[in-house]
Amino acid sequence: MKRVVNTFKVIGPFVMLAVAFYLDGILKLGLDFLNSGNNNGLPQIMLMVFVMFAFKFDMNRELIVYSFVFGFLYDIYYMNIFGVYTVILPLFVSLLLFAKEYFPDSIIIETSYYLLVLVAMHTVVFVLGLIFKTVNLNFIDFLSFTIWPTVWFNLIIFLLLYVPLSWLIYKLIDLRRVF
Amino acid sequence: MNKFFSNKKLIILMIAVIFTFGLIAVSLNIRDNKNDSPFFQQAGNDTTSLFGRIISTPVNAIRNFGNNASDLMNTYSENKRLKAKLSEYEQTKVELSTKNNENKDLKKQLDLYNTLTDYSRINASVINRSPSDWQNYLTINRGSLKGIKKNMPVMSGSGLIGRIADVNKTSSKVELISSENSSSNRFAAEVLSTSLNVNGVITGYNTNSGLLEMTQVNTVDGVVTGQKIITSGLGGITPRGLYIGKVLSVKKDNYGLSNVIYIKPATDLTKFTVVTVIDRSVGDN
Repeated sequence: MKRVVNTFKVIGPFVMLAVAFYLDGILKLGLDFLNSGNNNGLPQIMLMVFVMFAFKFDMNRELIVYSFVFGFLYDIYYMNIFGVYTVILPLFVSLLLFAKEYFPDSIIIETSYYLLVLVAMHTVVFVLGLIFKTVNLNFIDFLSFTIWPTVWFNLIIFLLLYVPLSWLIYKLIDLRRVF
Repeated sequence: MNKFFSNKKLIILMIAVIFTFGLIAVSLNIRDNKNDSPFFQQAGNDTTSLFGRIISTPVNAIRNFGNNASDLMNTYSENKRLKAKLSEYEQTKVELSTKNNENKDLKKQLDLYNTLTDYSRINASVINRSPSDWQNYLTINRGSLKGIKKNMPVMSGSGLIGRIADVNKTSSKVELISSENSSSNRFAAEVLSTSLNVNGVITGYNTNSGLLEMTQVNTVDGVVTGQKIITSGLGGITPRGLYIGKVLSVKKDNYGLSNVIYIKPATDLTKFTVVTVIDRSVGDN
């Protein structure tokens, strides 16, 4: 039997991830309180979309491929260096896909996993930066200037966007069933 | 527990770690030593920035609308304040244009075509800012096709904000002066004063205090708080006369041997919409 590639299955998640990818940069430019003083808050909406897809769909293999592609794009577009997000994002996404089996799907579980992955990923990227001497902050400054604004900003956005985004994602599922 | 730490997963983890380190080392080497980034990086950046421009234009329009709406609230008092300053500025403008003309005539008489103060401007608008924990980059919508080259200084509004770090065909990346451990804030600088001759090099930025550090200063006699610091043009790619910031304090360095001037940057590093890339007219070769 011929296997037909379902267009919505491929394009829908890709478009959502692409919009989230661009939103990360635009929000960082546009929101002044993320950059005021010494703060360096980082919007992580692409990670948010990855976490929601991981919990709601059963598309493990596609998610890892998407995380490679978008990690690579993130690297060359935002970091100007390849190798950081290209490897670290798929690593954390596969860890997430492994760990999600232990809990049912609910907003509290998704929020906790999202925050855990966020803090872990940025700590790993920061430690890599220390090793390669591209950052000079000590760890306490990193926690208070980068992690603290990032966590509370992304937490609020996640809680606000959870319901509209899951409605949008379930629309994708319904369309898939029709096709 | 056994299933999680199986051999296959450990091997994948090790390969991933080796891959990461290798890729980062290669890419840092290319970035620091070469002027052109690899072809696929340029192509990827150009394609991605094309869509980025499409998405960021409406967002910038909304932000401008918001700024205009809030400005409207303070219009009456601001208008009164500005009218008072306006008459002063008219006189300053006339003086400046007279001096410019005199300068041009004198240069012609001496057969000088371009000096360290001559430069041309390339205006660009900012597409996005990088959400990265390493360095702060802005992406602008001008590239090598409009004459942008690596290491050109970039200004915004009142002062210097950084250097061009990476050039693609239709977009470039600006690295801000607030990036530590990079060459984006290394500028040859001097104190703007008719009586002093204080030269030095800006060698770093302290994230905690938000101040630029100027070291290798030849003398600090006569340097007081509030004096303006400008680029001296002796570095090579930067012309003379770009405003960097104001002196905040003069201290001795950690070993007590030499002096360090702490400078408060002139620009506010939070709001960017339009930046100007400076192209020096006097070539280096």
